[in-house]
Amino acid sequence: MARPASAYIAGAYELPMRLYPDKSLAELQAEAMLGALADAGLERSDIDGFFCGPDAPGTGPLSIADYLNLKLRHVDTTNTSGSSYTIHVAHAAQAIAAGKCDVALITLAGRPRSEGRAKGALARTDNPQQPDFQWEHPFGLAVINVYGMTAMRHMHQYGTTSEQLAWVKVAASHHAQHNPYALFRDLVTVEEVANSPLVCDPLHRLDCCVVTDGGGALLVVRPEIARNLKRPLVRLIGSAEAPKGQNGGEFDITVSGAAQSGPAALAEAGVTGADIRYASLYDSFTITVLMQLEDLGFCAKGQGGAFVADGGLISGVGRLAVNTDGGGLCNNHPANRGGMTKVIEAVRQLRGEAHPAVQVPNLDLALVNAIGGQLAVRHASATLVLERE
Amino acid sequence: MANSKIVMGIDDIPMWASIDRHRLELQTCDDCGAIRYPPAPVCPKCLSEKATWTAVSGEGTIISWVVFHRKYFDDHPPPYNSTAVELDEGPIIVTQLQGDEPEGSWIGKRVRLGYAEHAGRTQHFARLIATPAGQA
Repeated sequence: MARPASAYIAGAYELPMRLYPDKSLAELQAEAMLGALADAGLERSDIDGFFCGPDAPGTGPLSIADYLNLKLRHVDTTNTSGSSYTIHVAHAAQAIAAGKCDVALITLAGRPRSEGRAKGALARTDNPQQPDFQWEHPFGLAVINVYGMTAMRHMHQYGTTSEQLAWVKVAASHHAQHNPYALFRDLVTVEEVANSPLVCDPLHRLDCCVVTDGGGALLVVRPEIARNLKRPLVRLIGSAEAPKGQNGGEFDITVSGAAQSGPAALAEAGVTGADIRYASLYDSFTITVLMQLEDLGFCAKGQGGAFVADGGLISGVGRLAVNTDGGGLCNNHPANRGGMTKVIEAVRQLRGEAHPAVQVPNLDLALVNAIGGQLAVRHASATLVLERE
Repeated sequence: MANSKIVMGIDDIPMWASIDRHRLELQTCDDCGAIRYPPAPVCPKCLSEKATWTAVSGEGTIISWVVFHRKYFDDHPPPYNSTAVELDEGPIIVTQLQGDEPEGSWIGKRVRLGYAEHAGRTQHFARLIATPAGQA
């Protein structure tokens, strides 16, 4: 099957700060949009498609689209938690291919740090009408426990160690030291991660991503428009999404939706994992990265620990550079949702605009994967394959 | 901070009533026989609306666990565990292990459900099934 006509990411912008005590969510949404427009060299009047998540205040897209005074013919508010914005890129390309819009704006903004909301550490109280929480809530669960249970079982089944998981954070810190905007820029060692206080045994404090204010925006555009802009051409050549649940109570907690979305996106792109030298992988917790590496096929199931050890994810050191902005573990996890920043750093890498110390040389292919929701029990994996033309 | 609490949905009332009677019941599909969790108005396998609440054996195997070291609820002071048990009937439920804890990995250990008062309600918990060699 011929590869479908696809779209380009023409604008990408990450809000610079990690704390915004004095700005409203609407203002942050506007700043994100303006940043992406300036990056692409487009005008607000060019935007005719709008994609956002529930972090945008108001009913779906309506309040923010009005506040930004957008003139739209297509909206999409798909919400799969942190992977929403990764999925939005694919949905935007599909809408463009279907002729429903030409320039799609995707935004994310949140202030959990200013508002004292650390999602991963919150008790699960989301929505009492939600049919799958009632039986878990009385046992004192927080979001982190499903990640912890996956890590515990992975350790039991494959001999994965806390020290191997720590290498994911160590690699992030090696990258973050070059990012002047990163929340944490200090190098950490395996020992410091493995000896940091336990939050949810076996996960330690330094196995968890940061809590930051901020956000970002992307502009996905029709090919003819992208070719008339002055920016390097970054094209979406493969995408797939995979929600995964509990299958009526029978499921394997050490397999994520990436096992479905990864192969599908790579097949659509006509490439394999062996062709990929840079990947943005959602690092809500260290174990999340390990699961994605295995399920995407970068290594065999159970071999993730060995893959990440000894600098396996450090740019210029390991086989695969991962999250060269410092990721969610060190740099930024705005609005408790990491799917936006993952795409932005992949775009920087493909443009050759990552920090020189972490830039992968002559990069023409990148993979983005996000796991939104709760690993093990209810999440959606989203995979993108991007190409520099 | 506050206590954790039961969120009682329409589909959950028979389940909590069964726990009050100290015998956990799950829905068994009248058409295909699948035993499902979480409770739901239709069978996730065959979509039948017909089901019978059936007592489970209460025995199962630990598939994973965590120990919380942070406090989220007044009625769950840390450290406390959260334990996923695959019941012999198939479904995986979340509970807490009480009493003796295994040395090393808990995964694969056999447990039996028990019931206790907790914060003004009855909840199930799991206890290790003692074996002569101490092995599951």
